[in-house]
Amino acid sequence: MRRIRHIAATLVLVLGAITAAWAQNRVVSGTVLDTGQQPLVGAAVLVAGTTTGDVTAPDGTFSLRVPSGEVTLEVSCLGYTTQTIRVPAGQAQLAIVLEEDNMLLQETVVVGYGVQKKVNLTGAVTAVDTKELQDRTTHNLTDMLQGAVPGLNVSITAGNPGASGSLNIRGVTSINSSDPLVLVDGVEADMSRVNANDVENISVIKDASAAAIYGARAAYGVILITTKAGSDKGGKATVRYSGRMGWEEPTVSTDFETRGYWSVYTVDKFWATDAGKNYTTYTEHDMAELLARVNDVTENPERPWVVEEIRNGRKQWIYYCNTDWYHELYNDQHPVQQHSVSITGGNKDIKYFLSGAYDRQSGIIKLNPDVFQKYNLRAKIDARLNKFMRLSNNTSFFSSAYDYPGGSSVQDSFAYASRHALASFPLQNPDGSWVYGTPLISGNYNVANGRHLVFGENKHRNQQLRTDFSNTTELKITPTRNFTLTANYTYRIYQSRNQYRSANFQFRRYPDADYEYYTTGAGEDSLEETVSTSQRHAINVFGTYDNTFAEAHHLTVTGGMNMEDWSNKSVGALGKNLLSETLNDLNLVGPDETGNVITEVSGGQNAYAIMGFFGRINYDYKERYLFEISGRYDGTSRFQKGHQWGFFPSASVGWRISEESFLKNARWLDNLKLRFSYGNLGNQNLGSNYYAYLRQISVNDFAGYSFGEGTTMGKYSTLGAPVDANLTWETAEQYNLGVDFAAFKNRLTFTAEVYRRNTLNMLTAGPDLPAVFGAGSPKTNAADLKTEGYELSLGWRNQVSFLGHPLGYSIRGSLSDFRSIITRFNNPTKSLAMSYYEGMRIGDIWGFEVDGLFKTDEEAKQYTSEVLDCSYINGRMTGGFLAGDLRFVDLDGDGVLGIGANTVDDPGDRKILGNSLASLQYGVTLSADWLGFDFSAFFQGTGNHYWYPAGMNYMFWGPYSYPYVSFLQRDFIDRVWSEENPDTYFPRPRAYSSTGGELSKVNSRYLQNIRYLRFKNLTVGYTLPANWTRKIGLEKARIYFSGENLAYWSPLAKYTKYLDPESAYRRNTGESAAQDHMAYPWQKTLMFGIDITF
Amino acid sequence: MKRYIIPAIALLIGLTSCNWLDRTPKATLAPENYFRDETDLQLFSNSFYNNLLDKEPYEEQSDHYVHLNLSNVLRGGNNRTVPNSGGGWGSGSGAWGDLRKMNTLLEYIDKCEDKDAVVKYTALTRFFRAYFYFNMVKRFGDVPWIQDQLGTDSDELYAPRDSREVIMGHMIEDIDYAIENLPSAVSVYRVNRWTALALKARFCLFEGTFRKYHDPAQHAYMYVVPLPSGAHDSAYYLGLAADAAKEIIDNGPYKLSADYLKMFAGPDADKGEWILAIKNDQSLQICNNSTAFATMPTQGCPGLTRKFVASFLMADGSRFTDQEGWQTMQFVEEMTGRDPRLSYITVTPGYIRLGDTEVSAPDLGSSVTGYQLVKYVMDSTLPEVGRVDKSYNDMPVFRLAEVYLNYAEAKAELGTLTQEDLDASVNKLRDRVGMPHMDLEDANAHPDPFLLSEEYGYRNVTGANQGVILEIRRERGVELADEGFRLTDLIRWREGKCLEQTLVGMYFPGAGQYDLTGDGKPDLCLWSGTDPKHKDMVDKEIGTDTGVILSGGASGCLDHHQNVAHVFDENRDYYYPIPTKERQLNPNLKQNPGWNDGLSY
Repeated sequence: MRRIRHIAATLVLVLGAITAAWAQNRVVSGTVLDTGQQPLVGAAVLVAGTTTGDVTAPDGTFSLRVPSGEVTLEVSCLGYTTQTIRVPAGQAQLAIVLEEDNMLLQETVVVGYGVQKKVNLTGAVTAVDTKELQDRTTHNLTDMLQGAVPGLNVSITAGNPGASGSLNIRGVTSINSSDPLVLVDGVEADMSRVNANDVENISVIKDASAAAIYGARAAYGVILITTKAGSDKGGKATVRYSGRMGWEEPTVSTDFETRGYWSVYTVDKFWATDAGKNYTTYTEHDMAELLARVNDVTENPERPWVVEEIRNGRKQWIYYCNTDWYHELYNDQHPVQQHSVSITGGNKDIKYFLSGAYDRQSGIIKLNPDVFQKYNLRAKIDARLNKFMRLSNNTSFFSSAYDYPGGSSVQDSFAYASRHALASFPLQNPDGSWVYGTPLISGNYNVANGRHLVFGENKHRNQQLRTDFSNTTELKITPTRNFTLTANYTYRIYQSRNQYRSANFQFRRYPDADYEYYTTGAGEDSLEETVSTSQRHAINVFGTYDNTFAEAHHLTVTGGMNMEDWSNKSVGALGKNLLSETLNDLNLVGPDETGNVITEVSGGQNAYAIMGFFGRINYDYKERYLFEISGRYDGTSRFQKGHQWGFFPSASVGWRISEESFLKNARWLDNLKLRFSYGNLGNQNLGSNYYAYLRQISVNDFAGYSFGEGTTMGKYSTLGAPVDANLTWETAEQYNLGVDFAAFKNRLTFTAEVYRRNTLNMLTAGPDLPAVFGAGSPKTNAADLKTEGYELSLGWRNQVSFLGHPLGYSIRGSLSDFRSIITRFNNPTKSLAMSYYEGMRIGDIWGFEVDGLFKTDEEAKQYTSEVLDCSYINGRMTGGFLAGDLRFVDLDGDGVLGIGANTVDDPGDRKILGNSLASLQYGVTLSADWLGFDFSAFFQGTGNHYWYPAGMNYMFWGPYSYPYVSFLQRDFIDRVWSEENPDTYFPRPRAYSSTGGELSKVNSRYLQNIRYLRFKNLTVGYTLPANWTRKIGLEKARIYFSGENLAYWSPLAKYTKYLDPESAYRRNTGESAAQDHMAYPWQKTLMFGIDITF
Repeated sequence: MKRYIIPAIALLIGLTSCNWLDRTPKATLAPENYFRDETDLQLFSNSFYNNLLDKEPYEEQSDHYVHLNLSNVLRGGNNRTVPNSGGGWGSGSGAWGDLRKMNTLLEYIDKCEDKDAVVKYTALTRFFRAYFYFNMVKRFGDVPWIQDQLGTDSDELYAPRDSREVIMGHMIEDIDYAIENLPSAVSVYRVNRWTALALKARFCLFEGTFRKYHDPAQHAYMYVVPLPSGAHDSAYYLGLAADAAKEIIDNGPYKLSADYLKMFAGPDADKGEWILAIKNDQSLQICNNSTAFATMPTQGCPGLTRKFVASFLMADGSRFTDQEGWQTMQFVEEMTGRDPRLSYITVTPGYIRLGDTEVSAPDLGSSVTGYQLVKYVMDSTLPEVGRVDKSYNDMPVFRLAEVYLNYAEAKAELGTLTQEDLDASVNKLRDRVGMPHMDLEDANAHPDPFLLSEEYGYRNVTGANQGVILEIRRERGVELADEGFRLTDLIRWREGKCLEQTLVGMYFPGAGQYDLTGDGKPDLCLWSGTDPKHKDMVDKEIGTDTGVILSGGASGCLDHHQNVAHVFDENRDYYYPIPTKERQLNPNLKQNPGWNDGLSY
């Protein structure tokens, strides 16, 4: 931050000096009035192309010094049309009249198959201000939308390069897959692959009425993204370049324990309580040696860090290092850069838009960095064929490559590296060989699981390639002024290609020993390549009729059809024992020691098709009473014939109270609208089973079974579980009530929505059948869910005078909340063993109550023998409870700690401790501009939500999870209970107690509230005065700083500074254990950029 | 304008009239097109192996063998509860889901045109159906017999349980069909005729001894569905068991392996002795955890119990427990001059692990009783085997030694055992390890008081063959240690009370230094008071969780489970409970005796 402040201060000084040098030698003054001849206060009067200007006083007057000769003034005021006035050399007095701006009334919003005037909307549609997104340095559009739209929830699930968040509109929508439909220029696409600089506008459609025209795919909201297009500029091209460079660094602390002594001491202490002996074989003498070096940040020649000694009859390296393993393996700061360029232009017959972008992000891995690169291209052309036909084409191409060393996923590598690398161990021995197996570890464990070898040797070259190509051709026919017919066809092909390479590695255990080889797991010599290709064909044909009758009755009718076909095919191949360690190709697969060539292949394909006929009628009377009905008759291949088609209607009404005559005189009021909608939508997206209504025979490889025949895994075939052939749509019926309010020339805006969504007939397991049935009860449409919520957004913007110059500022905030209740589910006993029960609030966390730690052994013994039988939780606790252990509370008073009947009515000693879903989501944006400077700050956060740390999450638990942590929280032992230090947060030290012991029982003491407030973005920019930049041929030039994820505040920070609350929340979602307990850290991004337009 | 609209409408109609929404799977098959040839049948039946066979038999705890944490079965009492669902009575793999697969295959198998394959895979499937039902009978007693793929409205879903006589009858039909029709060539990783015979011997011995010791006349409560009149008696099943075993002994292509230890610790199944095995394969990463389990301190710390160790004979055939003071004998002395199999099963003084060159002392940190496991511990020089889940030795399912033991036991229980029978069976096991022969007359003349004692032995063995039955049980425990037989044996013998017997380990007379390798140098120091902090031996504090807990406080046997009650309810624990939810869904299911699931019916 200090660096930023310094740079900003310098900028102001330099620019101020330049501005002052501008010759100003005459005065122009005057009054600014509105059409009613009332003075306008706060109007800005600027000399065009400069920062010289004034702001009108309450009586509407202004006065400013201008250069001699003719000048051009720009007069602007919020709510009024900006005027440009030429002031001849001799004129010194002006009376300027500004006209009210009707633009706001004319503002349109993209809706399904068309646009609507914003004031006439009756559904819940939020348009995103894409200007605010332009400076965001987040690497993809999805993540940029976090906090930008109330009710749109973006969960960022990983911090590694190339990862993007997931989207959800209005909370828990279904217990099945329920992502919103994302359409880019009308075609289903992946939002994270869109070049954010291409985006013209984004509409988030939240309620059923506005989404109904998309029928079966829109049950859980629609996000419409429209990209920029060429425009009629009389043949002149506009080129815009935007480039920025900077770096990223973790949002959390990486200040881990680097002192060998404390690392060994802590790990041994935790290990010994569980295993009865030390994890390391360091002797007492060794510990003294380590202690002697505890403050040596670098090796002191008098106290070498590696000593050769004879132990147990052979030469051995004894390591006394203070190694900062984290920073040996990873960089805190790593560079990023982003470039984009676009060219737009055209005339009235042909318009074009061309853009390209490149984004390069280095990851944290230090030795051979992981690098993510992304390319975007878009080309749009729009040509008038004749008087009533226009043809356009829109091509986009996306490509990304993530190159990284290590096992199958970078998350896994990160997790594996975080074990067994004690600070006392070096990465390499004095002879240059890698440290891997060492007799200083008593068990059969290996330092960092060899991941430093993997990173360091660079033989594990993994690559993930993604390409996405889409081309749309559209014909628009306008035979009459009131009717437009549009037909388009889109072809999209996208592919992911992955390469996973692993190779043997060698290490040395003893100074006088030969090299040893590691040849399985991450050390297996193998290459796997997979390709998955998806194709989509989409056709839309629709017509729109729009007319106004008798200047009062406005009617718009839209109708048409949509057909889409999607298919996917995947191919995978794996070979072992490659002939080269540096080349990665399946041609190089060779025989193993016994002469066998080991290869594996896999395949698979899926397809679905949809078809829909849709229509919408909008009617308004003098823009005062608004009506809309729409519907779609939709078919999908994902159900059995006879169940494929559904009709999804919706209707909505709006009343613009502000247009009523009784409010006509309230001049301060710009808009007041009440609206209500109801709609009924279907969901055909039932997860990755595209043929859920069919029983299929599939042939698979066993996960681990062989008949010793050949060199491949055994195979088996299986018949899919019995199915309900009558499967059909999930439906979501939604009610939405909204208010839009704008006043004081739209300075104040407010929107509120409340909604209820009933998700009916969710596809879930049917009535329970006796187990002798031998299969899961076939899925049927058998559960209902109710979600209720609200969304608020409030904005204020204004322009005032600051130091004689106009200062524009705005503040906007949004807030949303929801709660979801299961209203129908087949669980009559309300058993907690089943996922849901009627009346259940989604996200509830059941757990025990703990009211402290035992103070003495006697208290522990007495309590657990006389008050509460705690045998339920003492799985790893032979010897019983002692001082420093958790004191559980006997909630049900039966003297035995337990889970009762495991039902809601008899949960034993558990109760609902909290809810894992965020109770509020909010965002606040502040912005200001003055004298060419612009500033914006964006905060985003959540209200209370709870998380019980996953057992293996040792950024929280430290050595209570796996004791042998590589990245041990610095000074962790100070926070651990001991007789001398009894008032700690954490209990008696014991390895594995969070993975299988008392800490693994969800309880109130360690439940975390992970609400957070995040300083999501700060942008500070300066636009160079146009009359300078024009001299060097630039229309506009702006330099800026933008920082993303700059800081966060969360109650979690009190207990760990190593864990970002967002990552905490996501890591406990049943992903593979290895990933679950350690996540690639979340990054903040700091970048300096320049935008040039010419 | 019309010239555009009309073709457009024509196009629309054209597109919609073709079956746009028809998308059939292209990477999977429809059942109608499957089950057509031998490959289809084999692939479909392959999952029976994976789902039904126990891949880690050494994990089963009993009175012979315990972990750091006792299983709920061992602890008994309130630690065993009626589950809401699952508990071996689930609908998925490992339970009724497998039966459904078998019945599915049997339903569709006639679609195959290769009729030899139909017979072969019918036989294979019926083998596994018998295997499946054996597991269910062991666990639950009476179960419903189902031989069809059920629909959501099938009556069988709500049927009561069938008596074990009915189930056994069907199992014998199935296994006899399998014996008749499976190939007889040796195939250690695939089921053949000999596997079917071995299974028949195993489950008929089970049923024969079960009916004998849980005599329906005295223990009627064990037969929730009463046996029908005319039900077979124990002799019938014992006879079938003896016959099936005899067929393998007389006509089977199997012979005992020469090396007891390498048979389990070596990478590959012994194709001479093993009838069916589970293939593990390092290059395919099909592994088990046996080595790490026995040698790492984090994997459960398994150990033999002192009682079991004491049951091993001396190398000269005499009884260890006949010696004065055996109860307080220290490790080196205790282990000297014993049945050689003791040193193949547990770490004894002078133990050198396969591949090692130096002697290892038993690791008290890796074994809760101090009697650390050896049987499946692979050669230390093999790459990776010491890591968790990286052992790749094959696992036995059926082997000839068990057939011998089953034969001898069936004959002994029938009362028709001869010395020739013993010589043709268990004495071959004795020969392999150089132990003196078991003598029928001598055994019956001198029943072992240790094996009859309430503290260490069996309660229900009586009759003329009492002595030899005890000896056969001893032999069975020794020979089949860690192979997952013990709990089932106790159940069929009605000897559940054995689980209440002592679970302690090595004996130590108190604080001091101990030599555990027999080289005269101490390896272990037990202390109390001040930590001696030795550099050349392991120090353990007496009486602490992290050190050692001794049965007598300051002295005694390692007694990690000192405060852990382990009780066996004779009126309940021979069966598992039916899950509560299942009884709610099907009120015709009666609960097993003694299990209170809170339901009023």
